[in-house]
Amino acid sequence: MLFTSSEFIIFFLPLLFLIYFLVPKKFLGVRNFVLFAFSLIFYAWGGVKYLALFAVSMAANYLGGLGVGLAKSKNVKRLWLILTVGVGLGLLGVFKYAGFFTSTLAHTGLPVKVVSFVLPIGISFYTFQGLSYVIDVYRGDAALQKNPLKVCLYIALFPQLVAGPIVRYTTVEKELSSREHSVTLFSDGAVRFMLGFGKKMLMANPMGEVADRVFSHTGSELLTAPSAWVGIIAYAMQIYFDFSAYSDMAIGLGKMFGFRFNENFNYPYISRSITEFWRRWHISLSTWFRDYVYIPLGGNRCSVIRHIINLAIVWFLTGMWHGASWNFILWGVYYGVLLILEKYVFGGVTEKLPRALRHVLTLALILVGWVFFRADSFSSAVQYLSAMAGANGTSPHEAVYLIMQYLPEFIICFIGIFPVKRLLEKKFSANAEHSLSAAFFKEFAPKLFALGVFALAYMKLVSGSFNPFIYFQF
Amino acid sequence: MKRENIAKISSVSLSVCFVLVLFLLAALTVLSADETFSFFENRNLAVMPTLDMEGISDGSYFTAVGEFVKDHAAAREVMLKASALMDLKLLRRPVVNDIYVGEDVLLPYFEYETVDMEKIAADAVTVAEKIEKTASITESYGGKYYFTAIPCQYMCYEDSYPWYLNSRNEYLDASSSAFFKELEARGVDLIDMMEYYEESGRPEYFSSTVDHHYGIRGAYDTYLEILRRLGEDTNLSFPTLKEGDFDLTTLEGRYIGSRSRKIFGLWESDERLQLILPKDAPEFKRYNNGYAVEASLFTLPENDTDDVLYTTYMGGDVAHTMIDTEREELPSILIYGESFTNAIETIMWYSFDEMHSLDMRYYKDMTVDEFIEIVQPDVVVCVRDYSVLLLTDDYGL
Repeated sequence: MLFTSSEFIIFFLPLLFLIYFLVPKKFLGVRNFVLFAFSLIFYAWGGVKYLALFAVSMAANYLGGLGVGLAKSKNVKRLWLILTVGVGLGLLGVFKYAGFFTSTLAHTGLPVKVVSFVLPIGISFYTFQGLSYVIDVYRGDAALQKNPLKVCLYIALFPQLVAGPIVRYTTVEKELSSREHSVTLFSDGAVRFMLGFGKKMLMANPMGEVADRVFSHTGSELLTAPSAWVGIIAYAMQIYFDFSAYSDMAIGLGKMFGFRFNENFNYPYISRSITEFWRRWHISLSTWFRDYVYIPLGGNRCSVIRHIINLAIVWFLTGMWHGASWNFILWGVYYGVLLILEKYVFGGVTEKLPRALRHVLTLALILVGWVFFRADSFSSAVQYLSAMAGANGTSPHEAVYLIMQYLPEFIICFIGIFPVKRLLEKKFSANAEHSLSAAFFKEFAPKLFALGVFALAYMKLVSGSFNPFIYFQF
Repeated sequence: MKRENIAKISSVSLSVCFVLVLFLLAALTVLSADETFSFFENRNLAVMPTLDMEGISDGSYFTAVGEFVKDHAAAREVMLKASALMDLKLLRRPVVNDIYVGEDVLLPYFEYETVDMEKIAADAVTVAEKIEKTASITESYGGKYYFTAIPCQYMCYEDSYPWYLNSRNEYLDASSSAFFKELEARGVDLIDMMEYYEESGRPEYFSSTVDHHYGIRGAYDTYLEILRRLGEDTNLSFPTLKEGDFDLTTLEGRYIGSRSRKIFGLWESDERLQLILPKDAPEFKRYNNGYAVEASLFTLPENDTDDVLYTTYMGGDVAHTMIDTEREELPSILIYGESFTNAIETIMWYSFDEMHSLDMRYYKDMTVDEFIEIVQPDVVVCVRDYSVLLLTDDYGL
């Protein structure tokens, strides 16, 4: 189920509110059960048959956690960990990568039968979440959780189930057993949810329409340079506002039910370097790789060569995590190379450049990266980049139409990539210190704004048909 | 009032509003679950799917439920209109719901396309062969066949598109010239109304600003041109409805054409649907699909000020219509094609004893060739608009 589907907004959410909040606060276990049951319904909406695999994943992580937590010797603990990680990554490998590997091998001429599985929704997210629990128990960062409902709820909790953010067990460990429910928290969550909902419907989706239109011309003479640039800028907007909207909604929903998830984005497009970009983009994924892959490999506290190898491994895996396709791997490797170059080759030089130029350079590199990410294949990416360079001419017709048609969205998205909201909040808070009317304004304006945005987004929801979530495919 | 209290009040108010809105949406959705048709979208709304295990297993059942909920979502039609109104008046988008909103006309929006000349050439041969066969069947018993090409609305208003939009002229030029060349090579008589309209110097005069069909002037001049050619090419005699022989009646209600319908009639237009009513109209009988029905050529609105649709002409699309004037001294005619025939039928019947009309999108009893062989009309006219000349999926043929 999508957060931005009619059935979620109109039936799922009110029904969940009704049942969840009818259960008295003191029966947190029952509330947890209600959340878990609704999370399963939320997941099963995409097809009940995928529940079996999900259940296996949850069971493996619960049992793995028990094995790791109850084992007396370090070796047995390690064995349980390897087994659990093996099951998790094995399932991910089979369902997400088996087709890719077998077709790659078949392409090389080996007598391999190409297999294909339907990718279960959210498998990359829930696998990583489950693993973080078992690894944290192994490391002693988290206590063993013997209650299967709590482990399963942690993995299945619907706000972050299918498209992240990847919530660490340690983040919600305490809240699974004892959490605050308050009107303030609920209200904050509702505002965050409504703004995320609006971001998705009013910003990401229109930008997606532009990007899809332009990318559909890849390989044809219709993809002229102005169109290609408009298309990739639109895609950059789409993927940011789409994914960050999902994170906003997840964080908002979490708050409404008493959970506090970490932020997943921090205005990535204001970055002045690729390193900074990855500190601001999909934070839950990059920190997951940092803590569970990069640092265990030795991080940067090693020789230069070893560090470069560590970075290469992490970015190869980051690319692969996003999809079983060479262009995703290339995209990951592209960032790996850029980060290595930034660290060891031209980092010192770029730091001396004017700030504006560093922004522009960083954005240009990010846009090139998105071409690999969005294109259907490596050859399509090359065709698209050629078009950006003017290989198909510079006829501006379609680009002009797309800009004129989507001008309001382009303007809003342009404003939205800057931390305007943060600045306004700061200003309102400062004003509120001095005057009561400003305090009123500070409290009521954002909430009324969120309600207005929600109304507009609902209007778009029922009147539009273009509504895909990009990160569902991962 | 303390600042903490303000924060508390605002949080409570927002929470109550948010939850209330959700419950209100749920209630209104349940209440509108029995609606079945959306007029402005001109489509049936999704129905609640029947429960099946396979659908539950693979998720298709839930997808269908989602479609149902979306189609019956609370205040959906209000939201659709509000969205179109916002795009039209506030954001002033050039294209709203796939309609380009010009200064004085509503035109369809087309994505840029690659014109495939090889496909056009191949399709032109396929369709021309089909037409040639129908024409030779007609001529085998002494009948006369014409293929009539009507310029579609956006051809007549080609210059109204802004420079950055695709007016499809490249495709239309290529497809029509390839097709007409094939017809000519096969000796099929063509009546090209674009040539006629262009000669007048104002093709838009014949078309509608809010609908994809021609206006009554377009239909009337097509009628005159067909009869002129018939007079030149045959010895048939028939009365012609000339200027002065009819009253031109303008309906009072707003004309909601296919273009304005897509934007919920929100675009202001003073165009009204017109009817040609012969002053000395002969009596006639009408049969729809073989059944006698009321002898009328128009479906008029209940009230004078009600909205009017193109379906006013002949009551809309009917698979087989027959108008019988019982004037056996006159020839008979078959007009076939798609909805462009409707307007011209309301005039053409006047000149013939029997007028058959087939809408080949709906007529499935037999092929048009079989129909012609059985009925043997004296005159057969295929009416096609330029945009569908090369459709090879039997659309209107």
